[in-house]
Amino acid sequence: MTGQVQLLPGTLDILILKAVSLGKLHGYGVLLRIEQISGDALEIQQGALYPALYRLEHRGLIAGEWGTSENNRRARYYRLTAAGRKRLGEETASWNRLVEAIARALAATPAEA
Amino acid sequence: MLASWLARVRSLWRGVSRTHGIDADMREEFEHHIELRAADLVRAGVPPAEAERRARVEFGGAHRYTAEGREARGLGWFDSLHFSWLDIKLGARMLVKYPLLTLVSALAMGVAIAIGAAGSTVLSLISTPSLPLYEGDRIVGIQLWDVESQAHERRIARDLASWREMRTLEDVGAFRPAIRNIVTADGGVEVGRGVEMSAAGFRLAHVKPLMGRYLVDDDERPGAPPVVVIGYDVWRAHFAADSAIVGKAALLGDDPHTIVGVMPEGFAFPVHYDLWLPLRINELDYGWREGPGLSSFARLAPGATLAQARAEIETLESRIAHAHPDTHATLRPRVTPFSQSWFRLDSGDAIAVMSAARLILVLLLVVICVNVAILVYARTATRQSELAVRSALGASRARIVTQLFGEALVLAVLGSVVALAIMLGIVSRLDSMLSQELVRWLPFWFRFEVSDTTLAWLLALAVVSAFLIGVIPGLQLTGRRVQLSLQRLAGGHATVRMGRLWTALIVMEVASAVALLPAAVRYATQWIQSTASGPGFPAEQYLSASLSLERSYSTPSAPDDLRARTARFVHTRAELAHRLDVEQEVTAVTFTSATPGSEGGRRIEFDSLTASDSAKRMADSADAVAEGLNPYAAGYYVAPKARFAVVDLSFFATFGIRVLDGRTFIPADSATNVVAVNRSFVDSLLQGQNALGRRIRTVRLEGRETERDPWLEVIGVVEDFPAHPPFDSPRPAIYRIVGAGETGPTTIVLRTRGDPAAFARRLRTIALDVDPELLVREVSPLDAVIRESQLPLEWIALGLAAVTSSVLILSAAGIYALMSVTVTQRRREIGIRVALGASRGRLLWGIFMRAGVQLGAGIAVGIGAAVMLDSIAGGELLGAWSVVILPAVSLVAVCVGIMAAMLPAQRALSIQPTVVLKED
Repeated sequence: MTGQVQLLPGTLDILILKAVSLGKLHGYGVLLRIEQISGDALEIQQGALYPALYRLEHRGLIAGEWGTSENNRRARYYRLTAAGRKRLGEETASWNRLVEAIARALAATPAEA
Repeated sequence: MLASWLARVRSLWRGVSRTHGIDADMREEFEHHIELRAADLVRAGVPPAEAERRARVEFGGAHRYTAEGREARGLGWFDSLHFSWLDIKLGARMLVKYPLLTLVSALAMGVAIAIGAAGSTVLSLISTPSLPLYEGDRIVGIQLWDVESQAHERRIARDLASWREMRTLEDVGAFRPAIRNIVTADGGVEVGRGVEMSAAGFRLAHVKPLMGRYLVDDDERPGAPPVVVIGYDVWRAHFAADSAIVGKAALLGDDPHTIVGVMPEGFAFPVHYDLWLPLRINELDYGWREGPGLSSFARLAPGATLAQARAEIETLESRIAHAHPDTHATLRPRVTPFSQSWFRLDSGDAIAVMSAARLILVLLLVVICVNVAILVYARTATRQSELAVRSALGASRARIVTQLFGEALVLAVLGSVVALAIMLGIVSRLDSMLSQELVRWLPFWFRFEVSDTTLAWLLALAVVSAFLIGVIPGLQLTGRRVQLSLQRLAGGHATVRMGRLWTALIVMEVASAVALLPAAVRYATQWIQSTASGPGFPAEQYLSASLSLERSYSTPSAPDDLRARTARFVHTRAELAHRLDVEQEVTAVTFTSATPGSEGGRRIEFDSLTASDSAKRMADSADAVAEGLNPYAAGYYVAPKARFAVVDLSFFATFGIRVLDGRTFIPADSATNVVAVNRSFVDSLLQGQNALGRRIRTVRLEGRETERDPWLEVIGVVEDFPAHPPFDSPRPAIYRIVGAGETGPTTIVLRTRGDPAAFARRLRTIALDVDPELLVREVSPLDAVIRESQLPLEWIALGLAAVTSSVLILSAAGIYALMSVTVTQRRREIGIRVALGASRGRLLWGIFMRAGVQLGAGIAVGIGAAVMLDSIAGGELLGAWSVVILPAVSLVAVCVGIMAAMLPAQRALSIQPTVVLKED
């Protein structure tokens, strides 16, 4: 889609954690939530979401359980664990520091160099 | 972290146990996703068929994501092994089918894995490059190493100012210990593990205070109000967890400080501190290599690497050296991970020692696993027919070996469970097994727990063990032997050979057990005796403590005066003794340089040496040192050792030590060089001759030089104190009276009327009153101190007992396995010989001769090794009881061998010729 940017490597995990932190979701719901909170600005390969979900579940950052979806079908829902909440906080802080540092660098004028 | 590790194990287990179910679940999730997407497209007006097509295209290759999903769940390696759940089931069945082998192997492997994992965890704690703080791997220590004196230069105040300008480092700071007396909320006195630290230390640690604030740069300004930040334990224990503590005054000695913050539980940066004071030094007030001794820390700047920081500081210091060659020509900067800098792990020697320690731990595991592997090999060898037929039916060698690995993994996991139980047992008893004072002073990143690292080591060692006991024998059994087995199957011939390797293994096992047994018995005996007999005096009536003065760091214009501090300490000590003498609870007070029984040893020389003897010995020693030998160990300098203590006038009376000859000290002795010695000194070093009037002196080797102290005259002989257990080596001791004005004894011992522990608080209060800067530490009843001093002996005794028992059990298992296989292989022969009238005795001898020879060879080699170990240990292992211990140990080994061979012997004797001949 026009205007969308590709995700940087390693950022899908933090987006999933953020999406799941806002409430229990199945895989498709996670995708929609990410699109919603990012203002549809990010280009995400749909199938690639699942290996990332499984990786986070394997590490204990999210927990999955089977339930019934809105279309009355068996679906796996994911929620954020305490470890995931902690990791989300750490990654968010780290990301914000990085963004601030890069923005500062990019805003430098010749007089500051 | 443990939760994360457990989550991974659970996820892995789910993946392994439901490997096909996992794939089905993933496909179901993908289909659900595609359905929902298609439904959204339909709602947007796309025809259903087109919506589904588009949804599938957008999703991408399901097969690819299934594989990636398995990889994400950690199943990639599992898939590549073609591992089957059936392999695990077979492995579990084998454990049940051979219970004795299972028991022996699990115990032996459990001990080896526990020692390996525990040792590796401790080594990892010591050598860890990362602190448990935010980006802990980027926190570094900066040091200056003097290549000439081979020591660290701690007067780095001026250099600090330069280091703060570096681009690759930020939050550069320094610290120095500031152990202080704290007056607690209820008026008591405790010793705080204080530190004067740059405020940058708190910024670097990224830990928010529990209450209030931490130190800031302004607190370091000269003339700023005195402030302190306290730790969580201090807040709870000494200030009753007062929620309004911030802003209140705290007395450190007699200096009031305002508490500005409380740090959260567990915070002790930079090492083990619970009281933080601002470091008030103006770096530019000092010249190069002047000022107080400091330690430094910093954090790597964002984006900077350790290599870059090292390069920058080397450039900086070489510029300083060029400008100031008189001070910096011999200095070399070092930037290392902070934890490693604390343990001085940047030297070649330290790295070599750590590597050697790791190698020894791994070797122990390898030795045990090789032993178990041979036992498993013997067991697996009985399945030769099965393996041969499977191979003939098309099973690849890799598949068979993977199966054997799976079976071995089950056994190894069982061994790891035993190891985990051992480690949990040790950790739960650690509080009682370690000295409390030691625990308080350990670096904060030392956490004795079954951590992620420990579990990772357990898992790694289990896999390595499984490889050793499953894959290696499996490769051997599935090689050429498979073809041989197929050929021999029809003939019913034996296919397993227990050749030279087996013989060597049995001999090695028996030899190891015989070599280790004397040391194990000796340490166990010592520990039991010292625990049972006690110190030989009522230690529970005494209270001991260590005394020192707080370091006072004044301005550069009034540097620390060692002589003034010594005089102050001597005066304070005398005043403290005088104040305690009038206390009703106290019946005696004395001072000594070390608690009884823990005095250090010194080499001594007797005045019987002639001048030429002395000169020759000195020359020999220098030659030995030049050749890199330890002259004492090499026998060049035959200087005996004795325990040495500096005591005061009341020492012998306080402990009720009897004088056996001569006299004890009188006040005039403090101006002379006189000593008293104990009975063991006279018996072992003077062969019972008269000691009175003899002259002795202590000697030290400093590089190539021999340092000799003044001659000391023996004026008295006292009984041994503390009493040492019978059958123990004699412990010669020398007691010197403290000289006038000498710091000497810094340990105070009181005898009290009631419970000495109850007097501890009063002791601290009196000490504070005498001198607010007098630190009274390690206050403890003397019996507890003596018990703690025996903890290393307990550890050694238990460790040796565990290892020796394992080796002994494995020896027995090895002999049993050899005999069993021999009897099985020679059933037909035995049956024929019995039928022909062979006697039982000759029959048994013929069969077991080989095992008997192996046992004898093992015992002979083991005795040789025990004697060698004893000589390396300076005769400490066997002592005067070698004529008893060695035959006893040999007898134990013979008995173990006979017991192990009994069951197979019984089987051999019960073979019926008619049955065996019918089997043809």
